[in-house]
Amino acid sequence: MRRHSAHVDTVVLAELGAGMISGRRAARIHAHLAGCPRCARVSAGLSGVSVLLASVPPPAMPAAVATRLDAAIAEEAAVRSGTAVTPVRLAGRGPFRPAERAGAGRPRNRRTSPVAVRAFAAAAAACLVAAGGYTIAQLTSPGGSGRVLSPAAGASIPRNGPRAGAGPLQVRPTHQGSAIHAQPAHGQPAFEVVTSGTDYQPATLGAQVEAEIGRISKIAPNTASGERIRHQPTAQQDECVQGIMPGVPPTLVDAARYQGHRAMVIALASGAGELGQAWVVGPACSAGRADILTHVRLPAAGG
Amino acid sequence: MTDRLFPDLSDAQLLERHLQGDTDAFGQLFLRHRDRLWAVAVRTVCDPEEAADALQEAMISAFRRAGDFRGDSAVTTWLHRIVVNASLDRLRRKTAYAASSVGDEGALDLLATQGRVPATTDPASTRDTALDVEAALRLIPPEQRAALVLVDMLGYPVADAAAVLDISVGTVKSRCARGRARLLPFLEHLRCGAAEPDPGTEEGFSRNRTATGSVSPGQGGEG
Repeated sequence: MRRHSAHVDTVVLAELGAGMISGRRAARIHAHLAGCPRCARVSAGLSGVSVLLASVPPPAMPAAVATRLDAAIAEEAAVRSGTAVTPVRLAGRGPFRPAERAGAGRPRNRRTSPVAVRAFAAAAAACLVAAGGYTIAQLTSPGGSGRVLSPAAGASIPRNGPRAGAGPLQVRPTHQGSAIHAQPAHGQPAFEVVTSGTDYQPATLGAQVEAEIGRISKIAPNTASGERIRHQPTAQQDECVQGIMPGVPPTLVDAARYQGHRAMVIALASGAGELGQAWVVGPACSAGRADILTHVRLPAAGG
Repeated sequence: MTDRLFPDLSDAQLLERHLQGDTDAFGQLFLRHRDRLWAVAVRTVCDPEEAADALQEAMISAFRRAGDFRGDSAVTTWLHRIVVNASLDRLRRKTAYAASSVGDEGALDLLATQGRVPATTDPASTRDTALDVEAALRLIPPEQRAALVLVDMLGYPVADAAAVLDISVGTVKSRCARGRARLLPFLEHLRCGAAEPDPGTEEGFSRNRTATGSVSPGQGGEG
């Protein structure tokens, strides 16, 4: 019978199992395992962990995520090829990511939050419809350099756009208006931030948001009490809200707490036939990042 | 079905098309690999919402920086690396924000309430196992988790995982070993309900694989 004075450390057994230990040391541990049921059980358990992990089927990508990512990639492709009208919104506010290297002659794209990208894709679709078929238009900033995006190199590659490869892209000033409507009051925040002091909780989030919306609607903005709790948003708060709800003024933006942590609640009240919704975002929410902690649908109005 | 547009092109050729300005090439590339990339993201981040954000961030980054791809690794390796990095970045930012380990407590609760259920025979057992594994995975360091996700859960060869994680083969093995050692106490109970296993065999663990939600390697979803 072999002696086994001390048991082998679990990590060492795991390293043995992973093929990290060889030679005389491995032989010594194997010898110990042969005579020590306890270590042998741990060793078998470690292989069992691998088998167990392998037994869990990989989750399929939810359809909603697939749709969202497809839209984000399509939007990115549209921006690159100059068929998207949406950069308008960010032209005035979004920080442009500086070119990190000399690119292959492609335009640098702006930084967007994932949520914003999704919203932009929808906005782009709306704008394209509004533009009456002038899909290949890159709006230029007034008085600016008139940056017109031309198709990327490789003109032989077929493109989807109806006027693909038809030379420099034209700006259609008559349609600027419809695109710009996506951003109300350009440069001016269309909402105020309140600081209700509420500590929102997951179980009661919807009700708390509803209560806060009700309370805020009763406070006139120009009264003393109104001024105390209403503030102009900081640049970051503005970017955050615009990223989550581009072009839609929120009903409530409350710099409060969620489960005891600093958080901001952004809500859109229920309207005619449409459920409201509320997002809780963390302090990192900004133009480049949504940082959404949770999201709820609000009950129908009057319900 | 997944490659209506570019059935004959390799991943590298698709990426080249993308660099030449083809509007559809990158979307097609993503379609080919998205289920695996999703699995990597959601298993590493342990939160579907965050995983979706991480994956989107990663894909936009890959789209824009396709010119950085050097061809010294497979395109899939490069895509996986971007997704893993985006996932770990997201976790680091999240940890920096939420100093309290709410997630870990939640996972411990889950283990406490559900982990003791000896269930290897009823139909729900596979799902329970998956829940237990997910809860346990949250308890180990993200770097170890990422290695185990690639090697044990998705079955990548250690060398491929090393290329994805941009670390040595030895480091991958070490992270996997440490991760397995940490997981053992949380997952050991899943043996119960089955026949007492002999040391050296793995029969005590559930080996069920359901068809639902499984992904064949390298294949995209619906076309």
